[in-house]
Amino acid sequence: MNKFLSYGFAASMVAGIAVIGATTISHARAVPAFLGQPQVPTDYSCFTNSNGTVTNNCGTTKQFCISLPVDDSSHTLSINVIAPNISHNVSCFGQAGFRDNSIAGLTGLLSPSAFGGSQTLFLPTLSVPSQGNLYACCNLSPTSSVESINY
Amino acid sequence: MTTKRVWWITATLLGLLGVNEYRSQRSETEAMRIEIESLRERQDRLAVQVARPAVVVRTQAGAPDARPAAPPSLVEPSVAPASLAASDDRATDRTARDKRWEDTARANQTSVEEAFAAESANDAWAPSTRVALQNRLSSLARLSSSSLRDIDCRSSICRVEIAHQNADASRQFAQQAFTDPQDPAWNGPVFIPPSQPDANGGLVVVMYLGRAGTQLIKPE
Repeated sequence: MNKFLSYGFAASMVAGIAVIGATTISHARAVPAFLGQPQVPTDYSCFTNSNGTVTNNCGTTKQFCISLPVDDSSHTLSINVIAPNISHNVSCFGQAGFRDNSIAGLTGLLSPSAFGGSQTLFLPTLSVPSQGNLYACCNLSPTSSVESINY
Repeated sequence: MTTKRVWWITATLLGLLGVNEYRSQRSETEAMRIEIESLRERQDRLAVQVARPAVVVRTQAGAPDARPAAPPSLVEPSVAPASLAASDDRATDRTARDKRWEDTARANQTSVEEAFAAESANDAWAPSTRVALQNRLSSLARLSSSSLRDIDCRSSICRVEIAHQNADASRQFAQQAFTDPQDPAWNGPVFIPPSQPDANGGLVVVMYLGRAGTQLIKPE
């Protein structure tokens, strides 16, 4: 009985510490791609939305960007995309900006290496300056999609 | 109906009217008393707000910029004390959050600068990367009338220093160099600390370019 009690106490301590840790460190957020917009406004008609997933239905590669609300500095972006095949691929990058929108950081471009289904691109961590901003942008070849962003 | 009865009825009605008027005046007096009390409380709160010390705001460059607290509005919106306290709590939370954000951003910058300083040159990577960067960035710099001052590559990070005539030129250069979807000048992580003014009225921008597949900023 005492053994059970001590195990229970230890388990509750671990759970409590985990909860405290989670509430003080984790700031994970997720947004659907539909929160974004085309980099070039005349490309709006190229993109279709299906339950938050945005697909390029035009015949050429188009860029689609999503503004990500932030209230702290370090953000690691992971972007869920679908590329039908290697000749219809997706490349994405993250960009941090200063308050005046000048560039403060970039992740570099990343593309999936598997095709035909949902893939997650894990981008390098960005440092957003105080009062700055954060974006995720994807170059979508015809029929490729961007689903959602976690950051 | 006798005259006496009519007089009694009239007197009773007048009496009722008088009582009603008295009650009405009394409730008005009570309402005015409550309003005066409320105004006194508001006056006390405003006096406390005026007596608060100046708020110190830290600018991007890091220099503290002392500003007096904004004077309270003379016409205070009618809010209950509980919501005033909640508003104060929110302001405190925002200040703490902004400070944490600024501190983390500064720590990230220090971490990148220290990581670069700690690296030694990798002969298999640094010289060729430096030449490639020199070629790409110098031609882009000419387009925005900027001048490439220095490129120093180590084992996984290059430090680039460039002088721009103004913020627009700096913005144009960074966009052309790093966000071209077809052929960016660099395809790894890039970190750009706040620019510094130079002696000629322009800006000096330092950029840290990380090798593709590496992290410049440590994940939290």
